[in-house]
Amino acid sequence: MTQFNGKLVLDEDGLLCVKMHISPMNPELYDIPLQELLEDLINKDIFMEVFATQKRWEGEGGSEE
Amino acid sequence: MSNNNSELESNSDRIKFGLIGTGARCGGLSRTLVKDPEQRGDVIALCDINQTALKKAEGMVKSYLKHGTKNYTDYRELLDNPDVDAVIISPPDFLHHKMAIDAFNAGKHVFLEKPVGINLDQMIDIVNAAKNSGKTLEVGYVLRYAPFFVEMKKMIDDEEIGEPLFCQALEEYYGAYHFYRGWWKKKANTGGIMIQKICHDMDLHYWMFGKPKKICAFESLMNFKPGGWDNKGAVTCHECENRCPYFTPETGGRTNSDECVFNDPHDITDNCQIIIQFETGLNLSMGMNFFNSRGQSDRHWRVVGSKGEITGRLSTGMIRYDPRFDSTMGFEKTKVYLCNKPGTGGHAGGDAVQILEFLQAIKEGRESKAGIESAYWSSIMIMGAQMSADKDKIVRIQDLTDKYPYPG
Ligand SMILES: NC(=O)c1ccc[n+]([C@@H]2O[C@H](COP(=O)([O-])OP(=O)(O)OC[C@H]3O[C@@H](n4cnc5c(N)ncnc54)[C@H](O)[C@@H]3O)[C@@H](O)[C@H]2O)c1
Repeated sequence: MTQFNGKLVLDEDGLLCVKMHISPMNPELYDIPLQELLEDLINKDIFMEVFATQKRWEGEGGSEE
Repeated sequence: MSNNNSELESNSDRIKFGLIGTGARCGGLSRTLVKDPEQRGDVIALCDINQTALKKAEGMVKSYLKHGTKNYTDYRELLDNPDVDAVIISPPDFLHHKMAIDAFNAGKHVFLEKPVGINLDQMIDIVNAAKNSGKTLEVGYVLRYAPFFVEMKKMIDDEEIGEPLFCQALEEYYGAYHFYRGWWKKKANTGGIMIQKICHDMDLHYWMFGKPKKICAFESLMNFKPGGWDNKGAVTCHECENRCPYFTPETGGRTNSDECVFNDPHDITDNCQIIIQFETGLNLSMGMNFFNSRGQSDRHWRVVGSKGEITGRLSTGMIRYDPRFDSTMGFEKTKVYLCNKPGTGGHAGGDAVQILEFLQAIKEGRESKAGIESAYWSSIMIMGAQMSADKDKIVRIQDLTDKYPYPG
């Protein structure tokens, strides 16, 4: 099972990426291409459900900003 | 009593804490306390019957606060120390009653780990002692401070789902490692798995849905019993020829014991279902089990209201909202909220907040969030549930509140 969340962005090369943390210990955010996140599933039947998320804490807007 | 006089020096403006039962849980709580950026609290005294636990806590205080502690093996001596303003009480559950009452009688503010005693007689003594002392009580209901539940409560209070009509909750806990080995494995030490484990959830249910009306519960031992794993009756891991996922070395680990979680005798169960009807009419069911797969260890919640529905898993920190009347018949109006800021710590973020809230409540001379009211109603519910399972009958809450009236 693959599960991730973060902001969907286009990187400098125009690749669709998710801006995300790669470990709870590391505060840095990285642009990870969707290709990389999903490549283990290539040629498999998949189920995908995608929602835009909104942050509930103050001081930062959600993805609808 | 022993102390490090040479280094014993603490800041007089801070609230001075004594820690009683300096085991695993106390470590987490006191680290937040000593790291408080506002430096509201100090730790000056420690008590444990185990020297290793005592030394570990002493080392933690030294490394963060740069001073020594007075160390005790008898908690009554710690309570006699007039410099101690507040205590964290976190020994095994069956010791909570006597220690909490003695602490209030000694004029200390009390952070009491859950549960609030192991039966209703003990609970009512504790809340009455808290009330009569005028000191602040905070019960270790840390999930009240987890952003996931804080946001869920806000959504309910703000009527985002309209009137709450129905709730289903599930806790799956991969905790057999210690529950069938340490002090947890005897019902006489905890009051039973419901009281030990899902008193947290009852507190959340009361917080969100108000007073309960009736309750019934069932529990059983389905898997952590002889035959639950094929190991020819071995009663310890070191003599076992077919290691199970709960294998632990002979010494060390959380309980320093390698008793077989299936074959070593214990009298607690491994699953339960509770059904509660609240005064509003809302029906709630809460299930819990210990034999889940590791990846499913979590709390799952679903609250259905007159205008919408919220669901979520605590570990994700996300709450999904679906409006009830969505004419698109799709998911267009579904919202998914993120509740946890990155880096949220233990107990889904609650650990980083609760002890600091307790400090602030003491400073302001007020009751804290998980105070007397929370202690009373969560216990009425969970101990009522245990009573229902033990006596095989529906328990009417009015019968319990008549016998154990809320402190006046
Ligand atoms: N709020 C939460 O989420 C949460 C989480 C874990 C544990 N707890 C609660 O915290 C308490 C402690 O649990 P734990 O996991 O730390 O257990 P633990 O066994 O790791 O620690 C208990 C400590 O108490 C000490 N102790 C035993 N008898 C004593 C006595 N007479 N005087 C002083 N110390 C004594 C033990 O030596 C041990 O160091 C329990 O009541 C448990 O229910 C709460």
